[in-house]
Amino acid sequence: MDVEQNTRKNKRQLIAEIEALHAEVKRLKLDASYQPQGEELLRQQVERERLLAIVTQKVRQSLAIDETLATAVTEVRQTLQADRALIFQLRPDGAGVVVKESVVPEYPVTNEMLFVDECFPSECYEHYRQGLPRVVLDVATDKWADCLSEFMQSVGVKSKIVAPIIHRNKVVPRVWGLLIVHSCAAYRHWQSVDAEFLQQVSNQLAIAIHQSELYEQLQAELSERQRIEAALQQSEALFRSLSESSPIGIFRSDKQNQCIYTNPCCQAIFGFTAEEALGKGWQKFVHPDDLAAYLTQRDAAIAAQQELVTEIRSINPDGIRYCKLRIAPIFSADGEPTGHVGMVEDITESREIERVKNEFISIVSHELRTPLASIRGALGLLASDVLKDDLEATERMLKVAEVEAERLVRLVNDMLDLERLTSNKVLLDKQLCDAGTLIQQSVEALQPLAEENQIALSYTQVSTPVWADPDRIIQTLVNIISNAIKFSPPGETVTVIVEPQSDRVLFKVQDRGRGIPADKLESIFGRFQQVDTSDARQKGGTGLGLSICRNIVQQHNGQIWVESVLGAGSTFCFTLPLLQEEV
Amino acid sequence: MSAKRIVLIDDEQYLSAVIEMCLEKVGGWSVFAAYSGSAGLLLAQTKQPDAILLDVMMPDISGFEVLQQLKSDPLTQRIPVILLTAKMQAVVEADYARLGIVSVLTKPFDPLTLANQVANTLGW
Repeated sequence: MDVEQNTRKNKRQLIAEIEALHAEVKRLKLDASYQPQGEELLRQQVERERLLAIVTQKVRQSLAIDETLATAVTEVRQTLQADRALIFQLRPDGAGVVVKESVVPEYPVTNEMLFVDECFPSECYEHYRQGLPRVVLDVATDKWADCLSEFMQSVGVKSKIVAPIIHRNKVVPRVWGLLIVHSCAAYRHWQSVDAEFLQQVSNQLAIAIHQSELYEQLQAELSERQRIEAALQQSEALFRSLSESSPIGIFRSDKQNQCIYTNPCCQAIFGFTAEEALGKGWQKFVHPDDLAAYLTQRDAAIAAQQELVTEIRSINPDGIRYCKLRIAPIFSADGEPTGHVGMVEDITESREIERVKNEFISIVSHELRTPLASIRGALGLLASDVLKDDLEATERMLKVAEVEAERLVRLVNDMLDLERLTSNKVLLDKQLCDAGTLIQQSVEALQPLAEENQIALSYTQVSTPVWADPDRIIQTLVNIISNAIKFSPPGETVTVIVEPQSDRVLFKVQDRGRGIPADKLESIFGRFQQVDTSDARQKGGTGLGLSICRNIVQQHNGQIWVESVLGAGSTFCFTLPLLQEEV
Repeated sequence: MSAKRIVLIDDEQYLSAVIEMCLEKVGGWSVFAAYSGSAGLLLAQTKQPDAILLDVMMPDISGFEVLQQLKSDPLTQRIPVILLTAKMQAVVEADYARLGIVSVLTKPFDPLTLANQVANTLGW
């Protein structure tokens, strides 16, 4: 019984003693002078060193500020055994926002809370700006946070430490934000050493933020530089391709008129390489008769700040080229002359075409006007009384008018025929014909002319199929055979031969005429290109016959040519396809 | 107008016949026709005409070559030459003196005034 009573008493005593101890602990905790002693102090110190080491290492190793801040709030809360640790960023516009938070589950989350008009008293801000932390043992009595008391209550804060994060990259340090530790469960007797520790963490965070901003700035600058570089490269490629692929020659000279660039087309026109053209090198490729005049014109144009359009000849290794040159002075942004740019166009072909065209028009004009002049003259005399009573003169003039009118009709007909052939307005009526029959018909038609010229006509009577327009082939044969008759001396024979070949039929007309000089063998198939221009008048031709023949043969996919020995005669040959061509 | 002697050099025989007729019947002149440049040169030397009518476009020797030879031959260089041409803008007036010609007559021409044109040109 006693033992039992003793035990009960002991129990009660023990409970009372424990309660007393609890009360003592509570009292001690509330006592501002309470300080951890001995071993605990050492443990705290080690913990804090460890945290500082972690944060410092994070700051040095990582530029990911988000991660560093997250680590900081978590570690700080744990190290200080607080209920909440947060980073509150002050924005330049006066607002503030919680950017990172670590909070025990029992208390509300404040992360990303925005305080539109942050209301620091100026002395408080100044305190922070000097990089000084603050310990607030009871937030309800914080003289610098009247406006915060309601919020503090709502998130259950009793005590806090605030350590400013100072931005030092400006001349005047700026408070970037605050690292805040909350105690919600109880009032904490945080000491200045706690505040100093928190400030050390804040200072490391300030470095991290600064580094991160610098890094972001560098990244932005780098990507901007890369963007500009890419744009420049693209632009360079565009303009290079414009110049390098241009079908017009382009060159560029500097202020001293030294050539500094030529594009491939310019190099092709002059026949120089890019290197050979540099400086005054290009001048060696300009025709010496044109160079001095060009240089004078160029200097005058540049002095007058005007464009120049002129023509020069280049002495390209492949032959002389005619070039149209256009140059224009270039000025810098501030109006200073910096050289000139030039365009070169090879006009050799177009000049030749123009020359041939002019010559053709000139010949046509002559060919048309001459018979017209005869007719006009003869008729004019006949219409007047000048020839009155002179019957012989009257008859002569009538004959002139008649013959020349016929010549004009032939010429106009041939010109129209050739025009229709060359512009593909003639639809050939191709069919299977017998080459032998075509020759026979042509020869028969020309028999009177042959007799008139005392020429014998001989032809091979071979039956060979040929795919052709019979009327057009007879026209061709008549033209060639009549030429042979007209150009053969009396008593000679003109021979017409047809030779079937593997895939074509060869026609040959041989004469014993005066022959054709080697340099005319090709050109006689051109318009008005007789060996002797008087032939047209004397032999009744128009100068267009062979040109018409060539067009007809070509439209049959055949070939026409002439073989000749001067003084011994000529053989005109043409081929026609054997069978219908595939459509 | 006294009876003038003209050498006509033109390979166009029908046209030559008409020109001859015009100058003889309307102008009352004597005409000696040559149908080639070489024949014309010979005729000019031998006939010593008052004027030469020369066609530009001829097959053997061109009119300009004939002209050059006429002007370089002491026998013919003083004979006035009139060019006949059917070409457009063959010779501009500014070149007459350089070429040594008096005028250029363009074909076709008015047969009844041809002789007068020649006479006026030469101040006859």
